[in-house]
Order: sequence, then structure tokens, then C-alpha cells
Amino acid sequence: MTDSDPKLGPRLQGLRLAAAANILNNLRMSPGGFLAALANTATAAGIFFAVIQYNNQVEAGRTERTMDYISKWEDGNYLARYEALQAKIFGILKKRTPEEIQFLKVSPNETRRLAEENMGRRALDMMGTDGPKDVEQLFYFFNKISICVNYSLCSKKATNVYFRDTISSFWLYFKWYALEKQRAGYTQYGNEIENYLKSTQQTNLATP
Amino acid sequence: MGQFLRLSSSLLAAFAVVAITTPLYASDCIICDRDVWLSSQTKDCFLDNVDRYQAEMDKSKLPYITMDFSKCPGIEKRGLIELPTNPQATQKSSFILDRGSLRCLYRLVSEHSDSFDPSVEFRLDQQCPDNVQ
Repeated sequence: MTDSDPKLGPRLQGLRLAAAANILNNLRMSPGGFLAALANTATAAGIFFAVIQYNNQVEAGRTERTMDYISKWEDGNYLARYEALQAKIFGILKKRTPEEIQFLKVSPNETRRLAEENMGRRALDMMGTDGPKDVEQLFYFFNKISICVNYSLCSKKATNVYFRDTISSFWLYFKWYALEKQRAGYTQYGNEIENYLKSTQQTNLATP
Repeated sequence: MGQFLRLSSSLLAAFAVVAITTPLYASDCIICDRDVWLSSQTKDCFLDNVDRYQAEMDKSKLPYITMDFSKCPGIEKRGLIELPTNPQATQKSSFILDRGSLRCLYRLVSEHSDSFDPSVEFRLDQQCPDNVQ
């Protein structure tokens, strides 16, 4: 279709010409106008980079907080507690019979969750009298770091890299403990951990 | 001779104390539940389905079953203890049992003459001592 398209009415053709003229006028700029536009662009770029730098600084602060948690995890006896618990779980997993493994293989996920819960209960029993205290200390630590991530005070990326699998695995075997605490009146027990895991959309590490 | 008898009786007494205080595990099943809670609704559901559980085990040729009482009629309305602040914190309603524990639970439920409300806990590790597979 061209300007001389006979199908267009004279009024529409006039409007199109006026619009084209307006665009040409806008492109013409005085040297002062050009400098002003340049200054505006530079200001916008400056603000843009300042925002990026600010975000980087905020993220660096979050990463630093996560690093503090990593130090506490390694030095504050939490890692030792977790490793002891994990050793019990591994010991239990090794004791499963081929029939039990086969049963879990053909069962729905809910049954696997139940089995993990039961294995967690056994692991806790095997920990002896210190077991509940150790588990509660781990809940305390994981709850704190989950709050830190959930409220954007810690770096989610760094926390995920270092802690997500650990917390996810712990949750698989000890979610029942949180639910029992909730039944006993601690209504929010473990909720922040669950929220953190949900936010990472970590697929459950199902027991094979 | 008397000293030997005294020593033997002391050892026997010590063995008896250990045997009494050590929990008797219902089975060697690692993945199974050791405690089962039943309310009057879940008890009815259990009794209605116990034959089906047996049949399912026979069919699968695996000696384990998952009993899921949450799908039983009437369970959603009553029978589960719920906290109003957290609906997730409900009493457990699914259990994994092995064949021996299922048989034992059936016997325990049949023999239980008291009320099942709000719920009765069956400690299979202690109440089914003769069930070691």
C-alpha cells in the first residue's frame, strides 16, 4: 500500500503525512538539546550502575552472613552432630533387606516418606539419650539459617550451594519430629525450614 | 558349689533384668512403624481392610503393607486430632507394617476392650514380642 493508494481516503492520507512530518521535526535537534540529552543519558547510566553496585554490596553482605553461618556450622559442633546422625542413617539404610528396597521401589512417594520417617525415628533411638538434644540443636541451626534466607538477610545462592542438600536430607528423616513438636504446642516448629526448602524447589531426595 | 550356685543365680538375675529392660522389637523391619495410633474410626477402617492388606501382601509377594487411614470414610470429619493453628500437624494416619506386625495388631485390636477415643497407641515393638521374623 502506498501514499497514493486509491483505497485510502484523502483525510487518512493527510493524517499520515502530518505524522511523518512530526517525526522528522523531533529528530532535528539543536547542539544544546543534544548535550542535554547526552547529560540525561549519562545520569541515567550513572544511576543504573550505582544501583548495580548497591545490589552487589548488599549481596556481598548477605554472602558474608552465610559465610558466618558456615563457620558456625563447622566450628560450633553442629557439623559433628549432623555427621553422627548421618552415620546412623547410613547404617540403617545399609540394613534394609532386598525385600524392603523392592517394596519401596514399587510404592508411591508417600510410602517412601513414611519409611524415611521411620528410619529417622530409629536413628534417633540409636543416638541414645543425647539424640533428641542433638536433633533439636540441628533444628535450631537450620531454622536460624532458613530465617536468614527467607527474610533476604543471607545469600540464597551461597546457602543453597553449601546447605541445601544437608537441610533437605535432614528434613526427609526428621520432618516428623517437627510435626510432633507442633502437636505438642510449638505450632511454628520447623516451618521456616520447610518454607526455605519450598522456596528452593528442591526435589526430595527420595530413598531408592 | 554354693558359691557357684550363688554366682549362677546372680548372673541369671542380671540377665533377667537386661531382658526385661531391653525393648523387644516386633520385627527386624527397618522401614516399618513400631507405634500405631488408632481411633474408633481408624480401628473400624483397619478391621474392614485387614483381609485386603493380607491379600495385597500375598499378591505383591512382599511382606509389607502401607495402611492409609486418611482415605477411610468419615476420617476427614472426625477421628484425627487437629490443631486449629496448623492443619498439617495432624495425628499420623498412615503406617507401614510387616506381615507379623499386621497379624499382631489385629490380635491387639480384637483384644482391646476399652474405648478407642480419642485414640489408642499400640507399641508393636513391646506388645508383639513373639513376632521376630
